[in-house]
Amino acid sequence: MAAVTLKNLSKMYAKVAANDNINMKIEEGEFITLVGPSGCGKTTTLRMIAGLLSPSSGSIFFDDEDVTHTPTQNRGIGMVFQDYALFPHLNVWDNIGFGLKIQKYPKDQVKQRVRQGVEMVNLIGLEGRALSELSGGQRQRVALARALVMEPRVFLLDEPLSNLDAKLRLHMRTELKRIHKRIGVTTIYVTHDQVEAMTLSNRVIIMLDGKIQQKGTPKEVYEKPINRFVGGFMGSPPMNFLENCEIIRENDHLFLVVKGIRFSVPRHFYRAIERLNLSTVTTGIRPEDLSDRNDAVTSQYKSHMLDDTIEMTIDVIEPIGANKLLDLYHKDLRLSAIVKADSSVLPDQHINIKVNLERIHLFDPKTEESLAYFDKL
Amino acid sequence: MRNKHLTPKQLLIKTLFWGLIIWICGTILLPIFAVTMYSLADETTYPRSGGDMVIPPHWGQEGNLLHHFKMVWILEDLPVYLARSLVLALGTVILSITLSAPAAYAFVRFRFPFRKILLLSFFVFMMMPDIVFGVSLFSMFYKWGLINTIIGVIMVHTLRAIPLTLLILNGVFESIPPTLEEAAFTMGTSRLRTLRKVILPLSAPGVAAASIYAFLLSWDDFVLTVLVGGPESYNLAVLASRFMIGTDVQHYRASATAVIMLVPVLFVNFFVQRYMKSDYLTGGMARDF
Ligand SMILES: Nc1ncnc2c1ncn2[C@@H]1O[C@H](COP(=O)(O)OP(=O)(O)OP(=O)(O)O)[C@@H](O)[C@H]1O
Ligand SMILES: [Mg+2]
Repeated sequence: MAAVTLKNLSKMYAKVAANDNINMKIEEGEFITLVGPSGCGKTTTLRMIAGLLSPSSGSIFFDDEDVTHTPTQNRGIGMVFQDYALFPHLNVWDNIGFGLKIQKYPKDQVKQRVRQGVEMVNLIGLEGRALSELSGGQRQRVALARALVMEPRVFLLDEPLSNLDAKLRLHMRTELKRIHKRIGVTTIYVTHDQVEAMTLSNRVIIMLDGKIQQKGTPKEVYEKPINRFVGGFMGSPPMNFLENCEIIRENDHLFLVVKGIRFSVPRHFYRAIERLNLSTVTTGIRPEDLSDRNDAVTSQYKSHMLDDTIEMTIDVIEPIGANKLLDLYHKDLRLSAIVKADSSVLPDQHINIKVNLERIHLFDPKTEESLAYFDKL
Repeated sequence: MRNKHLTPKQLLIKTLFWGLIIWICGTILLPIFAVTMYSLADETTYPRSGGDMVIPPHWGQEGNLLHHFKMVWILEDLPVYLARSLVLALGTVILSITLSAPAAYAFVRFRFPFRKILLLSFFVFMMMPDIVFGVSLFSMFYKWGLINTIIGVIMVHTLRAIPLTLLILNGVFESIPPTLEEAAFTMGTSRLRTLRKVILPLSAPGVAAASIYAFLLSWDDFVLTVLVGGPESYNLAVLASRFMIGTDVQHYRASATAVIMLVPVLFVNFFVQRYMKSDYLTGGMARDF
């Protein structure tokens, strides 16, 4: 097992930078996720770590060893490809044992390790099957076992679950977590699915246009997104954005006004707004930070100084498990909010919505950076 | 009449079925039947100056059903031609596959300038008539002492075979996803071993198809063999054709030679049919996995 460090790693194609000055350190045994929209350069990063693609500049370290120019064969990595890349001419057992046989391990050791691999991914009884006789999920497991029996120093996965149906994906997610818990190999997992990223890993790295946007624990990137892109990308249903919120000053208090609705600015943003001399901001509110005023009795007394209520009309109600997703509007402003499933809400009803002010996000409309990080800039 | 009860669909299927039978008989069985019959018949069965074949013919000649085979075997040195044909065809297979397999692999895996135009040029080359090709090579081959040599004939046959073997193998390698090789690399497999353990087994059916094509091209070639070859390098096709050229047409000996030429073809056919059943030849491999 090894820690992986990327230093100023870049990959240029003819016109675009697929990876632009990537820096990261992945600790030994860590499970990190590289997440971002299609084309943001995740695969490029992963393939450079694997040695299947050579960087235009920068370097890659496994522990203290510079592997930038080491061929793939000598890096000691294991990789699971999006299309599985299983060998169609070999059966399950021979696919899993391929690498061990090539490396000329003694016969009994090959046998033992392949058996362990088969057990680890629950393929017992299917060893003799041809690949064409396996389901998508089973092929996926063969690919996992094939990479893991080599006991790699670094384990790389490129969107391994994207070809599976929703239920199987959920199941394999748990499997992956279980396997990682058991063998603890340094794992870099690429996905464009933010839910996978949030649920699987110790740490998430969010990319856009070849650049790293934010690194942190799932909780950190969710609660304190560094910019508007991260805020909108992480979380489902996605964050509401209110563009062009005007800032109004009334006896030492700041208020946001947009399309006739108005609410207070939390204190911790005051300094940033004053220093940057902003007259408008973009506000981000997660659907779960909007609630039915009537449900939130307890905090009523606390907020007498704060203006935290907005009046909206309910357009559509979508039940989602223990909650209901409300699609709200006021003039041409639309918001989605999550309320408890037992709330007595009806379509076309007017509703007082309470904004959880402590948890709103404000972004500079020009740079799209979060104002919460102003002090650190 | 029962025909009255046939629906249009049944009628179509019936027509197609019989059409297929007629097609198979006309294209495959009839020629085989004809040469076999001539090779076993009495010379007088077929009137020299036109007229119709007598069917059934008078079988055999001089009391020997295999009379014509005996004659070509003894009088015309058939074993020598047979051996030569085999050497030429196998030489063509080996040379054309060893040249076109690496080239096709490079075409598929590496991007280089003018790649498309180069590939297209092979198509154009395929359309060049044998006569133009053979005659144009003559003076060069003469200078290099390749006229009337086995090597020379193998070389022209190979040149002739390469465009198509290259295109076949190009398609074969294209159907093997590059991630298979990359997966092998990640497991510590060297490039050479990856070729042997992954690419070779997966491309084997395609290589077999290309080999068969090259074999048959050489086996059957008359024009190029005559143009650059000579008495020392003529094959069975030239021998068979020789019986048919000039005033003394020896139709029966040509037929006997043709029947002998059919043997490996039928053998290959049988072999291929069994081989092609392997399920990874379906081409769906890249999408399935
Ligand atoms: N061979 C190439 N030549 C030119 N541009 C390329 C090449 N490969 C990738 N790119 C570009 O580099 C960028 C990053 O590609 P990459 O495959 O790393 O994206 P990704 O994040 O893995 O996307 P996805 O989620 O769709 O797999 C893309 O804009 C892509 O168009
Ligand atoms: Mg990708």
